[in-house]
Amino acid sequence: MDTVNPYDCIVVGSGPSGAMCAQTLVESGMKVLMLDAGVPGSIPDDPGHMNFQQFRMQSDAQDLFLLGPSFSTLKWSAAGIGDQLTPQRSYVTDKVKEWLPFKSETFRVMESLAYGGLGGAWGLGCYRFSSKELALCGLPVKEMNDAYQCVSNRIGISYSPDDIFPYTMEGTSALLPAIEPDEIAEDILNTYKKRKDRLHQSGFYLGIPALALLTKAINGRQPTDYSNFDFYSNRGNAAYRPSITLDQLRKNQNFEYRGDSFVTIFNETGEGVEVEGRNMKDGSLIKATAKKLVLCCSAFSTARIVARSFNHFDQPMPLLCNPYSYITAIRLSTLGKVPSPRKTSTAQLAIFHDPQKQNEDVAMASLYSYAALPVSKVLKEIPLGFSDARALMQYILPATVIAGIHHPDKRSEEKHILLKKNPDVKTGDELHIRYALSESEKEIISKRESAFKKAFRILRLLPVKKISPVFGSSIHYAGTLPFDSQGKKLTTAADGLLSGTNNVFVADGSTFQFLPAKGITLTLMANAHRIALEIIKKK
Amino acid sequence: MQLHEEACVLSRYLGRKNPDAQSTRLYVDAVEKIAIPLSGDQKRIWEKCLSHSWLLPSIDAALAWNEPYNPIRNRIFIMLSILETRPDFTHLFLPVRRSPFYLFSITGRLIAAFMKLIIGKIALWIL
Repeated sequence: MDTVNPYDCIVVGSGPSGAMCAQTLVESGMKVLMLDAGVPGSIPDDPGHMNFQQFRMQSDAQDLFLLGPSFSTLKWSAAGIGDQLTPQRSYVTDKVKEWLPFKSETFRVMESLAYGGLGGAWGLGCYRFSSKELALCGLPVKEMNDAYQCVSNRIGISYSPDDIFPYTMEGTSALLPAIEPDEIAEDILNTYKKRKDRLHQSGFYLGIPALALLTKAINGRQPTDYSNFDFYSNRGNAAYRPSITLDQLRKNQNFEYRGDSFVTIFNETGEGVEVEGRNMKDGSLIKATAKKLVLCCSAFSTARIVARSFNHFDQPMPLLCNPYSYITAIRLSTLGKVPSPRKTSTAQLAIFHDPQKQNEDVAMASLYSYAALPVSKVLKEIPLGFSDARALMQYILPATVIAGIHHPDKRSEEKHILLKKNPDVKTGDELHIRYALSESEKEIISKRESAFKKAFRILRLLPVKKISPVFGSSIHYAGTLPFDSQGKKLTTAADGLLSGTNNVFVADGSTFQFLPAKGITLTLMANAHRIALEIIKKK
Repeated sequence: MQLHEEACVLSRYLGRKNPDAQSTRLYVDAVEKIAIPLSGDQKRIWEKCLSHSWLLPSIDAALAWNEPYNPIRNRIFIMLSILETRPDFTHLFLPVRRSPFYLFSITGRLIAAFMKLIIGKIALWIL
């Protein structure tokens, strides 16, 4: 054994990027150490063999299950970031305030120190970036297309080609059959089929989204049972979560997982890299060395580690984040219809807006039914007394669709982060975030939202309320250490190598130069796999 | 008024019957854990609502319109959230099949809600 560098690679972070990168490295025979905070989930998440509706009607234990052990779901404020987290999934943000502090007037961050990272609460939507979008991000098209296929085979994606094929999984084979949509989604699809010419003219395409939720058993995982517990439990591991990959990797002799490890800094040595950090339980210093280091801990946390290591305090780094809003709409013909309990809580439909028909400047909305979260969360938003609001929602809820709209994001000077020293916080520094849209960006977004509303009306969905939550609510963050072929400071080469280093790689979304509106997770995983292949080539 | 009596008033308003023991225990526990400070005026209005429970729906309606995140509504919201998770009350929160007269039912509710809003606004002005 090499006593100086007992590991070929250290991977920092266990989210979708970290898990996928580590799998590729380990499968190539490399010896990998993963350093991770690894905060576990602690709330029982499966009440047994019943569907969500049966559970609601019969279980005497649902209070703890739905409210959380310390009433964590009873937030008394307007809808904000992370409100959709069930008590069973809220562990993904545990300890973040203490260890990953930030300050911002305009932006909110949702980061994770959990085992499996934010992947533990991922909405499971899978969208490939088009060749044009990949090029805008700075990602090599051919390699990414191969990587998408590899990741798709590993995680299992359910999707049957329809009108949104070019925006989701075009170019990928071996897909599983699509998830069955619920009644309201089926109803909307029927309207779409009759009116698609009008919608296509204005650049709208609707279909059932590709999801990392199995409809057939693969790799020891079971298909979804449509019990509607998707964001509480994960029966049969039907939904892909990075923890599934990590649990498999931990059985491999070439892989070592070290939890409670909060990495703060790296130093390049003559023959490799040394990382330092703190044990999150006892505060003791941790150190590890390897030939190479791969940072996979999110656009913010990777930037924190790099800024500390280069002593790059008080200097701006760029930031990308999809502007996000949601529209609540009602389908009047579905008022007062009792829905079937057989459903999933994932997005039922996806609608893409591509007015130029170039698959380059695309906005998208995911359409959800409101069926597996407590109704009281919605009632506080209605301008009626609670008793009347409750009674009305019994009719309205089955007809309610919530559309989360994502817009693409480009870099600008008004979007940046910087790390500032602060001896009063645990890590000795905190991230300051500035994010503002230009007037022209605001105008484009406003026009797009109006176009979506018009499209919803064509689909016989009546928009009743639009909410624009604080910036950052899309939870899609990227671009802090962007790709750059000239090797400027705080940038990354196309193969993931951090400029100014010989053995430090970045394999998360920090490197993207542009952020398409489509969900980012599949591309994060594909890119991490691609970077791992680049590292293997250099071995 | 003791918290368990408060739970009974709120349960009768929101669920049309007294709460079971577990709902009451949860309410007491939640209010103690989630400390909700009420200002002097808010405390006075809250106490009136509890001692004259017929006022509660109107005050709630008026606050929902004027000041939806008022701490008084927070107390009601806590009981509402708890009742939603109790099997005796869950059916009140699940979708109901529409009757042939469901549009009358919805319209009636909206008219009643409007009346409560007016009464509540007057009550808040007086109080």
